Order: sequence, then structure tokens, then C-alpha cells
Amino acid sequence: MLRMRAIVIVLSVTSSAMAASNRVFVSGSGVDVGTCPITSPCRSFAYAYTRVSAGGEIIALNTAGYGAVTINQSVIIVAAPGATAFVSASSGTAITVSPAQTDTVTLRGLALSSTGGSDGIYFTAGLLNVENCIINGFANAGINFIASGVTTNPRLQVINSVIRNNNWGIIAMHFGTGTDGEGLPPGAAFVTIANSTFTGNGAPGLDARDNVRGAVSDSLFAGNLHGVAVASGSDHAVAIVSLDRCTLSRNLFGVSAGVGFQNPRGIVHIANCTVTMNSTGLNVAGPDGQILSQMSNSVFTNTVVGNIFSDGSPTGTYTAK
Amino acid sequence: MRTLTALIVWFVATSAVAASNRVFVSGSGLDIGTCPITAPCRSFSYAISQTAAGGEIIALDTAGYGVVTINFAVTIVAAPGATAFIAASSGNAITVNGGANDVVTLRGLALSGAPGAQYGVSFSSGPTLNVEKCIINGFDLAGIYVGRNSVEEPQVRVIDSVIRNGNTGIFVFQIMAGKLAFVTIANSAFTGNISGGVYADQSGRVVAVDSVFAGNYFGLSVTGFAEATRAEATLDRCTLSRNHLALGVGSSAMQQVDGIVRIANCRITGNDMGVNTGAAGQILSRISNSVLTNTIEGNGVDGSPTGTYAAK
Repeated sequence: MLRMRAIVIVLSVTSSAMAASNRVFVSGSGVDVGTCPITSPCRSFAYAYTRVSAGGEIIALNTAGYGAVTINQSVIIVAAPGATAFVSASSGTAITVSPAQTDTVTLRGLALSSTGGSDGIYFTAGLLNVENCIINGFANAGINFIASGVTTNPRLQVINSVIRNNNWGIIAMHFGTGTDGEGLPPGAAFVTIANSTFTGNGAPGLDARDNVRGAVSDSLFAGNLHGVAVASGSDHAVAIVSLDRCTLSRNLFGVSAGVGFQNPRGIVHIANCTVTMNSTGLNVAGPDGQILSQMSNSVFTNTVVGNIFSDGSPTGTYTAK
Repeated sequence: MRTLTALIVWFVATSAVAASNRVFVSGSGLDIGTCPITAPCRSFSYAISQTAAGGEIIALDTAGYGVVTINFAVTIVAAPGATAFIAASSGNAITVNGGANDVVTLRGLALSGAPGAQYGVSFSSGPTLNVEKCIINGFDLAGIYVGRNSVEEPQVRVIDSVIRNGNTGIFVFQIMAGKLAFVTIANSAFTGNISGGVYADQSGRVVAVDSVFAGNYFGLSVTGFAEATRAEATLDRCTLSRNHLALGVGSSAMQQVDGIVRIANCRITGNDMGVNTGAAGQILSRISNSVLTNTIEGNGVDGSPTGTYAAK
């Protein structure tokens, strides 16, 4: 009898540990027990994460702080519209995303804030979507995207988000074998940004380093050290970023290419951008820094005027197609 | 007894410094304690007394939360789905008197002025003010006032906001010689302001993109007393419609007026007057290989830019 009871207990503990659901819920009034169904939501992202199956969703039902979480499988963490799901970090990282290279992680509607934490999101591999998020006040970076030796090119996609008052807004790099040319390196770090705002970051709003390939559209960079800085730290790992319909205002430097390292290589393509009220508008340095302006039939599309000390100029052009 | 007194003193001292990084307010809250999410407070003015520098005040549900004066770095935000009102019938809805390094962020608030209310937000001191997803309606003097005579060069960023039905939407100037005051505007609307949408007076600097100026007396007015103190503005992808005067540069009643506005990809239509410059005012249209990008037509009097600036 005793043995039977022991077996039953062991069985039930084992099976509840494995009972992961496709959709789990958290609430400010929840409790971290059980499997987090909507009828009895849990309290923290970290606990709920242990109850969600790979590829499933964690849904925050109401406004509350849900705590830091480390993610290493495909998952979606989303605040129900109308709720703000806070993650506050007093040290370290608010959300660590280091899944398998083939995993997809989506964060939607979250508000990450630091009370001494270093990174809002630390991202190393896979595909990460950041949608409708606010990332504020981190001592290091809003999003720290560091890949190393990841054979499937990791991708960061930031949409409709606000990243402010951090040191770096986003810093991205992929260490490893690069390329001297402008084609895709063996290991790139892809960054796509749309409809987002980067303000008041003490370093660059977007700092694109080794092997980054970036596309930024309809976004605002204001009051940062550099709005967008593009420069690789390695001689053979050129970073390339394309800006379209972006506004860069009141940064110390609006757009910087090839600035900051010993042999920096950085290329920026700009089209339909407004660069004004910065101390310096376009800032190119280093042996291989380039800012290329879109041109078609000798027509340019960028406004670079009204910067306080110097507007600067593109170093060359690229042809619209 | 002495111990008890000491204890009370200790307790008072402790509670006075017990500021939190995140405090909450609710329409059903009470202004006591430290405003945790489990016991939210009622007003912004009480909640800010419980907030640590650099912290956040979060409005949990739709209610009026009262006027507030901010004198340190703080974020005041309405949870999405809630409208956090501040109704003012005199003075300012929000007064920002920040210190030299204080960043203040207002997000998702609805400031509403009854007759007698002066400014929606008066940004009196501090380097940086973010206004995100706010509605500022009906203030007698201005929606956002950035009038300085300071060595500090303030910057205001207005994003995804609506400023309407007041006197002036945003009024910016800097009196201190050699210093400027900056406003960045994106995805915002200025409508029905009986004086103007945005008024950049001496040494003001404004950039506005993807924004609408409609039904104001003037959409954007840029002036200054002389070249040294002129204001400048840059507009890209803006629409100015149904104003009395869409774009007025150096055209106020003042004697010596000067200002520069640069425009690209803008639509200026349906106004009584499109563009208008005073003696020293300049409206420059972006040009590249003889290609211009602005639409100025269908106004009572269209007017014309005074010159061009080169695209890069």
C-alpha cells in the first residue's frame, strides 16, 4: 500500500511537471501554482514559462509587474490589449532570449524598465520579434543583440516600439567570420526596425557593429549621443544599415559611419530622411566609413539642414531602382 | 514613553523616504500609503510624493487624476485602454520644473483645459520632456509651453499626440543670447487652435514630420527679432489645410522679424493663405536637380517659397 501510494505520488508529480499548455495566463492577482489556465492565472512570467509548451503563448491579463524571465525555446509573451505588462529589473537582464537557432520568440505589449538592471533584452540566437514594447532606462542596452558563431543568421525585428533613456538603445553584432565585400557574410546579424522611436539614449540609438545588416524605416532618433552609428570593430566584418523615412534630430551626431574603432568599416544608405537640429548631421570617419544617399536621375531625397555645428554630407550615392 | 516617541519619529522619517520606483493610481484609489498596485492612490500629485527619482506613475483605469507639478525625473503613463484625464480650470495641468539632468515622460494622458486654464504642460526647467500619445485640448494660452530665458537648452519631443482647440498648440522660444530651444514633432496633429498650431518665436528650433496642421489661425508661425535670434523650422511630409495662414514666416506684427522654414514633401491646400513671408522671412523648398516636392495649391492665396535648399 505504501509503495503504491509512493508510485501514485511520483506519477502525479512527474505528469504535472510535464503538463505544458499552448496558452498560459498570468495576472496581477494570480498565484504561481498549477498550469496557469485562464480560470486560475499565475503571477510571474518566469513560472508561467515553465508551464508553456514550445511555440505556445503567455498572456498577461491585466496591468502588473511580471518579473524577469529567461527564454530558451519558441514562445510568445503578450499583454492583452489594454493591459501593460511590466518587467522591472533591478540588476542583470529583464528578458534573456537565448533559444535554439531555429526558434522564434515574440514579445508584444511589454514595458521593460530598469531600476539598476543592465539590459532590457539580451538576445543571442534565433528570431526575436519586439512589437509595441517600451524599453526604458537600462544601464547598458535596451536590446543587447550579441551573436557569436550562430550559423543561421539571427534576426531582430522591432516594430512600433519606444526605446528610451538607456545607454545604448539597440547594440547589435555578430562575431565570427565576416566578409570584405558587401554581400552577406557567413554569419550576419539582421536588424529590422519600423515605426519606432529611440530617444535620450546616452550612446547610439542604434549601434550596428560587426556583420550587421540593418533596415530601418519610419522611425525617429532624437536626443541620443548618435542617432544611428554603423561601424564594425573588425576589419573584415563590415556593418551595413539602410535608413528610409527616418528622422534624426537633436542628437550629438545624427548618423555616424565608421566612427569609434581602430579599423572601422560601416556603410549607411539613406533615403527620404530628415536630419536636423543635431550638433553634427552626417558624421563620417575611419578609413571605411560611408554614408550613401539614394539617387535617381540626379535627384536626391534627404533633408540635411539646420544642424547646429555642421550638416555634413553623404560621401557618395547609390542608385534607386 | 521616550522610546515610543523615538519610534514614532523613526517611523515618520522612514515613511517619508519610502519612495518607490513604480507607483499606481486608480479612480477608486485613496491618497494614503505608498501606492503599490494592490492599494493604488487617487491623484498624480499625491503619487508623485511617493515616487523615487526616475520612477513611474501608472494610471490603472480611466479617471481624472488632477493637476501635478513635476520637479524630478519621472514617467507618468496611462495603462493602454485607460484614459488618464487631467482637467484644469486655472493654472496649468502639468508643470515641469525639472533639475539639470531630469528627463520627464508623459504618455497616454488626456489634458483638458476649461476656460481659465493656461497651459496643458508648462516646461519651465529641465533638459528633456517626452510627450507620447497625449491629447491636449482647450488651453487658454498653449498646449505645451517651452518659453525659456536660460543657459539650459531644452528639448521637447512630441510623438503620436493631438493638440487642439486651444490658443497655441506649442509655443517655443529662448531668450538667452546664443542659446536655443528645440522641439521635435512626429505623427501628431494640431487642429482648431485659435492662434496657431506651432509658434516658434526667437531662437526656437522645430522639426515636424508626418504631422497635420488643420483649422488653426496659422498652422506654423516662425519668427524672431533679428537674424541672431531668428527661429527655424523644418517640415517633412506634413499636411497644412484649412488654416487661415498655413505657414507664416517672419510675418507677425513685430517690427523686425526673421525666420527660416524648410519644407519637403508637404501638402498645403485649402487655406485662406498658403505660405506668407515678412520682410526677412524665408520659406525654402527642397530641390534636387530642379525637382521640387511640395504641393501648394487650392488656397485662397497660395503664395510661394522664397527660395530653395538642396537635398542631399
